[in-house]
Amino acid sequence: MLSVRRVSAGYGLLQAVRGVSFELAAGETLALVGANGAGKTTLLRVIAGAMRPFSGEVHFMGHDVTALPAHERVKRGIALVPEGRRVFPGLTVAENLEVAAGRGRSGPWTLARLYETFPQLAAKRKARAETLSGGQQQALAIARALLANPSLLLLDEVSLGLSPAAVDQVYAALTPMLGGELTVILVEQDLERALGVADRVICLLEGSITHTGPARGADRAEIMAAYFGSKGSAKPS
Amino acid sequence: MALLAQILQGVFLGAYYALIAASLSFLFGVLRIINLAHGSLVVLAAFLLFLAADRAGLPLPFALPLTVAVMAALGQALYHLVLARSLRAGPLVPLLSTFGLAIVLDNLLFETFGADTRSLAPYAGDLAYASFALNDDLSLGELDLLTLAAAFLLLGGLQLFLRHTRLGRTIRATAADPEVVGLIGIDARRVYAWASALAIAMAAIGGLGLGLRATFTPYSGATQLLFAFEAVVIGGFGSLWGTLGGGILLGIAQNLGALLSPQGFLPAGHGFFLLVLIARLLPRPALRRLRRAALP
Repeated sequence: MLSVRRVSAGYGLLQAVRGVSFELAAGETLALVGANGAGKTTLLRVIAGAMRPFSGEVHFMGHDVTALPAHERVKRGIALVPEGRRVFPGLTVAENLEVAAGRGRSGPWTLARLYETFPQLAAKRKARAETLSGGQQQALAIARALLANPSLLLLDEVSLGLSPAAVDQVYAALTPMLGGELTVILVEQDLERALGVADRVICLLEGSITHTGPARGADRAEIMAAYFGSKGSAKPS
Repeated sequence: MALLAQILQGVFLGAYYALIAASLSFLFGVLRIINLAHGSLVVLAAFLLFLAADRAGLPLPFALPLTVAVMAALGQALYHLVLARSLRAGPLVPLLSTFGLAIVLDNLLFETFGADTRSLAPYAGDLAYASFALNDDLSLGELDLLTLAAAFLLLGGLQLFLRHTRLGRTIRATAADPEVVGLIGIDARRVYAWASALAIAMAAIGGLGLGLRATFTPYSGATQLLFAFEAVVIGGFGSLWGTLGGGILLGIAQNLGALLSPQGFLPAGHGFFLLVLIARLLPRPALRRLRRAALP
């Protein structure tokens, strides 16, 4: 359903992603791992349409969407939960969700169902989003993305800066959504957690794919080597 | 009694400043643009009202909605042709492009309407001078009361619109994070264009206020902009009720200045504005020291 073809992207002179290609089947959960600065966030932003790649193409459901802006991709079923949550400050929890409702596709996710799924949000409906705890803000950011009823959900560092209990809560809400029709790309620092929920894992190092394989029974040592590039650094210079 | 009368006059004058400044404050709050063409747009709206009232013979209550519609369309065009392009080039460019636009507008108005001084007061019956006498010394002008009511309605209405309508919420979300609204399926540029339309449409109300309480020429825009800008800075940029408060404080300062000396009106207003500006620019520790020094 998603095909990323030789994508290179970055900011100005900085190239963060170098010629990355991969395919994703419907219903698959992909864990995207790698060190800080490996290009994970940039790759997600290119797929979501938040930035244009220098070169390469993104195909979604058989169409080339490379030139489509983010808001058009949402209508086709791609939703990104951005790094750092980015809830709308000054708007209440209810307003954060209402502003997102009815923008994407219609489907099972409605305001009422999201409040059932995230009871911690229902209790805080009238609170301003910036007053929520990190875990609650993350739940809000995920709920806001789900309102578009995406078929491809991109999750960028959903556990970053959260307490272990809050991370557990976020994953408890996410896990039932995985393994169904929803296709997910998950960027996660915590390798164990990523491998625990994903079908497949791709490791990025300095913008290039250094490892790809099934998540189940993945060789931790091999992934760690791809993660830190110890194979690469062993090469004589 | 003279003092009270001057303060009251200051409040009414401030309400008029707020009518003009509301749009400036709103546009800054949403697009982070200081629209230096706003004064000229207010004068353009006043001329459109004048055209409708004088040439077409329309009563002002009918001319106003027409002018609002024309100004809203102009706001859309302004966003797509000028603001969107200059925003892409960084925060300073919109300042330059709206300044340039002001010059173009002023001179276009001069080419079209000449240097004659105009007023809308002749088309509003006795509104410009009718008043209620409170007692022998104090009376309230009908136009003054109407201006104050209009300022409350405009700012309150804008507040309600932003809080309780879908477009209002969308504008607030876009102002907070224009990139993320794209990620939830909203075209930020369309929202910006509507916000610009709304802001420029508000210039029609400012133009009506200007034309009813005073006279205007094609080059009246700069003064209007200056007072509106001062009101917004005193009240805090982007805060709507602050704009009304800022306008009223400015109006009171000017009128008290006029009470002290016949030439005191402008210096008192500018001086007060500068005081507030310096207080806002001072780093917080310095402010705290000042406060401690002032209090025994």
